[in-house]
Amino acid sequence: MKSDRKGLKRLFTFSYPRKNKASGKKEPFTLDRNTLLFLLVAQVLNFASLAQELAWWMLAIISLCLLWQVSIFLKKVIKPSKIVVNLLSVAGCVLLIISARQLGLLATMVHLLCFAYVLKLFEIRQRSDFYQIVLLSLFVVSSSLLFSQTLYFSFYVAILVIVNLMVVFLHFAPSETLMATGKRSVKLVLQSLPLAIFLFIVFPKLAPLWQVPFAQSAKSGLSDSVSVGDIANLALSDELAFRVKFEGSAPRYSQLYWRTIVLEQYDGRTWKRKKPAKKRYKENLASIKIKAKGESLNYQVIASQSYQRWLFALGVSDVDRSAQNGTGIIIKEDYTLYNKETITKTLNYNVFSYLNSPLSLKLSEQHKKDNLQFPSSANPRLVAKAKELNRLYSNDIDLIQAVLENFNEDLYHYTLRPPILFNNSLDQFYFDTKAGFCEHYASAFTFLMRAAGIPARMVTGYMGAEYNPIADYYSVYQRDAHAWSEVWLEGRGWLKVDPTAMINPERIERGFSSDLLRELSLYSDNYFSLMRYKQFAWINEIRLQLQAIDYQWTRWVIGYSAKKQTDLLAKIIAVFSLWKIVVGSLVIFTTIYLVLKRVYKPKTKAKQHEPHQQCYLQALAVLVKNDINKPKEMSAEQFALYVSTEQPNIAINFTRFTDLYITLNYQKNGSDEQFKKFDEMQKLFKTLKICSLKNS
Amino acid sequence: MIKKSFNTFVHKRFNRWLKRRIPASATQRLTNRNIFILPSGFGFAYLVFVFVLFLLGTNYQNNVVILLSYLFASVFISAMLQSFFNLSGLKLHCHQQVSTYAKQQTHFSLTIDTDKPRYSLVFQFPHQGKHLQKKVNTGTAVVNIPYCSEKRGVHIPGRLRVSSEYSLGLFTCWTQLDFGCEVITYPQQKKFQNLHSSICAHQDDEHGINVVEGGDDFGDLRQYRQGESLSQIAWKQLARGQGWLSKTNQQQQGNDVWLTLDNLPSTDLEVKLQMLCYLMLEQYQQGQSWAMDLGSEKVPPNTGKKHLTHCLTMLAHYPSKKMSAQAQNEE
Repeated sequence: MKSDRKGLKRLFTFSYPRKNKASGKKEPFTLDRNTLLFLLVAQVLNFASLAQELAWWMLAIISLCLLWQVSIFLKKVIKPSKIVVNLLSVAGCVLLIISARQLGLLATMVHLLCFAYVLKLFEIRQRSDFYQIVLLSLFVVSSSLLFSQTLYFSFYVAILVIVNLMVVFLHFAPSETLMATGKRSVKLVLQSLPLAIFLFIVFPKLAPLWQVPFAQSAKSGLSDSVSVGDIANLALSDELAFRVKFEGSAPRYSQLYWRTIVLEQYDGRTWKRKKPAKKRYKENLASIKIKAKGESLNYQVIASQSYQRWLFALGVSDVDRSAQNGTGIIIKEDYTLYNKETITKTLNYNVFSYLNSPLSLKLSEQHKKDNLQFPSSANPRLVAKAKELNRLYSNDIDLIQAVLENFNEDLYHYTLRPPILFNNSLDQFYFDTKAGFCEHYASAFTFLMRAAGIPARMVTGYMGAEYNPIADYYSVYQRDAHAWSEVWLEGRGWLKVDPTAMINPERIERGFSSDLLRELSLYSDNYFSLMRYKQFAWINEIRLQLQAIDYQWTRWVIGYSAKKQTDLLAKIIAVFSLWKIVVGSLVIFTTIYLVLKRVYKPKTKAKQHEPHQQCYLQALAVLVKNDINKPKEMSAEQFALYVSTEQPNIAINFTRFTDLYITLNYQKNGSDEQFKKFDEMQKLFKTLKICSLKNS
Repeated sequence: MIKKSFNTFVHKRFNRWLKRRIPASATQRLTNRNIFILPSGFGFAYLVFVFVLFLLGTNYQNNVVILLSYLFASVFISAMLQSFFNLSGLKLHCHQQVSTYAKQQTHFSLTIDTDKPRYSLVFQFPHQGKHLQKKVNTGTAVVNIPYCSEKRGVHIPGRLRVSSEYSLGLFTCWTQLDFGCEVITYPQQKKFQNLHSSICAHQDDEHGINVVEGGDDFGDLRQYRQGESLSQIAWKQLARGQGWLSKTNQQQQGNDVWLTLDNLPSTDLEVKLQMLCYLMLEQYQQGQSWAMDLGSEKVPPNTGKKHLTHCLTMLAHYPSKKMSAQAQNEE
């Protein structure tokens, strides 16, 4: 194989194989100073794309190495010897091996990649080293897309690609300005974009070829245990949780309770998800079958990466199993959705929700008991209050109503920063501080219900959504996180009860009230959040516009699946019909070809030959048959002499012929005379023809 | 053995094909007819990288990475076009004849005509040094391509390789042009310490003293230096207002030096020729006239640069013009 390639290479370099390879390698390779500086800048930017995924010690090594490089560049330090670099690499590898378990496989590989990348810069000895660095740069930049694929990040990566290509451009044309090089690089990428998009749309989407390690990262969003204060912290986050696109009309704002986690266990301090008994079922239990009636509400959810498994739905919901990712989602007994795998990248799924359908009309004795349970020592005042309520109201519904009205009538305050409770005591909140966020009200309410003998549980999720009129979809942010209660009533199943609605009805009707927003801007440390400028209409407009673009990016690029591909291609074929596409593309390609041919054809002026010139050319053609060629550099007179010596029999005629040609060509005579001369020329041509025929 | 003969066979066929495809001409224009393009080693490595990226994207079902891999793949194709257009449309013109001493670096002047800037062009004659031109601006430019002949004689330098790896180094784009150039290589310039023109020189009676008799017109003139004899001053030229010049040949008139090849003290022809060359240059530098006798051919005495070039060219052609041309053909 190798010798074959060598043979091929020699074949194309033919007559002289290179002098000898060894001497070729010895010639020193040095990068131009400009290029080297720009390479350093590019490297810093490349590392910035992965900085979030790297451990602190790796970041420290990288910044030290980069500083070292800069001082070498400034000629403050000499280049380290090979031994030093080798020692450094061994030390780094040892560190990596030690921390591999903690980092996880993917992160370890990324660390290794970055480490190799930063060390490689110490040993640019040959041209191939430079090329290796270029490829490493591109790989580092590309791999950062494994951790985030948002529009903004992808845009940053695109810019980095352009910057890295600029390094190569600079290497080949170091005299160019940075601006010109940048332009060239952008032009190259833009020229390449159409084909890339075409490939993206048309090239078949393949299933994963083998199992790969997935990223482990800090979980974001709701967790499966809630103590008071948790959700108020989430409310400070502007991070996107998920987006929803409704088919048909969307439900009212107050119906947008995105159920996510159901918490049924209470230990006096925190609410927890009920751990399944090990014997009965494992984590990957089968989905329950949805038996729902009534009209369904169909929508698509695009969940952002959360490194958790929870998914979001309204009320009793079923997942569209035929759609993408449909089979990977489990519907749990409590009607919450759960993904089989950790959500490490954007996930789309389609849901049918039955908002009017009751949840679990029947409740097993065990389940009922679970939902009435609370530690006997917890919150004695609330327990006493429950007893009193039980005495006052015989009807469960009346009792619930009374508790809710109490929230409304008493001086309860809805705030993001409630006073700190001792030992998470709900008693203290309910009777003394009377200030809290949704989870305070929900847990106090749920506790009260349990104490009063009504099965009740905490539900966390998201409340509301922001509508984007530009792209017609809803976004739900982490700040929309919410907690509410569900109580079980005989014959009606689990009913949603939101005590927050009684204290801060605006939250349920429209979203955060202006008071709450003001609080939010006080406590939030994200000063650049556009959310803070919601009051400025034009900024908000830009924000919505950007989000709409991001949404389309998420839908069409990140979420472009094999199914979407076949659907899209089928649609295109249906609209245009196959033969039209074939004919159309043929027409387009031929026009492109013709235009290109016209553009890149060497520009030769089409010469218009005059009659006498044509006659002369014909005579030349006749002479060619007799093996007499007129070289281009030979003048007509010289050629006439040459012909006379070669073919004496036509010498006189041809000399006269040439003479006439020259006079016609270079002298302006009267048209009469010209005509006469041309006539004579034609006659001579005829005789010449006959003569030369005789000759041959 | 078989492989070697096969290779030479392939080379012969290829060269013949090349001769038909890119015929010799002093002016050459680069088009798709005479440009070759193939991915470089880096180009192949890049393709592997793109494939790895595609696998990464597929395994992680990460559409953005897949899109990026497609982008890199089409950058490969765009780079190919850029690489081609960096050479395409160049107009090259090369001087037909160059003369030099053996083992002495000389250069061919290549005139480049271009309608847009070109980058990173490498010019190289077979087995010769490279010349890298980082940028050629729009318009006409002249580059000097190094050439060094090892042996005396008339050489054809072969096809000039013009190559470029611009824009990204992914492709090597090159052409092999035959400008019909010729290098007349004089004997190597060497110093022979104890050699003096008198060893081989003899004053020739047949050719007489009167060869230079034509007078001052034959004389090589140079700037008059203070202290030179008044008789050396070219009065005629001074009278014509051409300034103070001195005649270099005047003193030597009458005792022409004949440099005879056969009289030189060596058995090796090449050494003899080198000696002849050395003596001739000595004579030339001293401003003396000389005549040359190569046995079959004789050059009458004369002085000056033109005379020197004529004699040196004859040395390059020795034994005879026709024979050396034949030898070249056989090569």
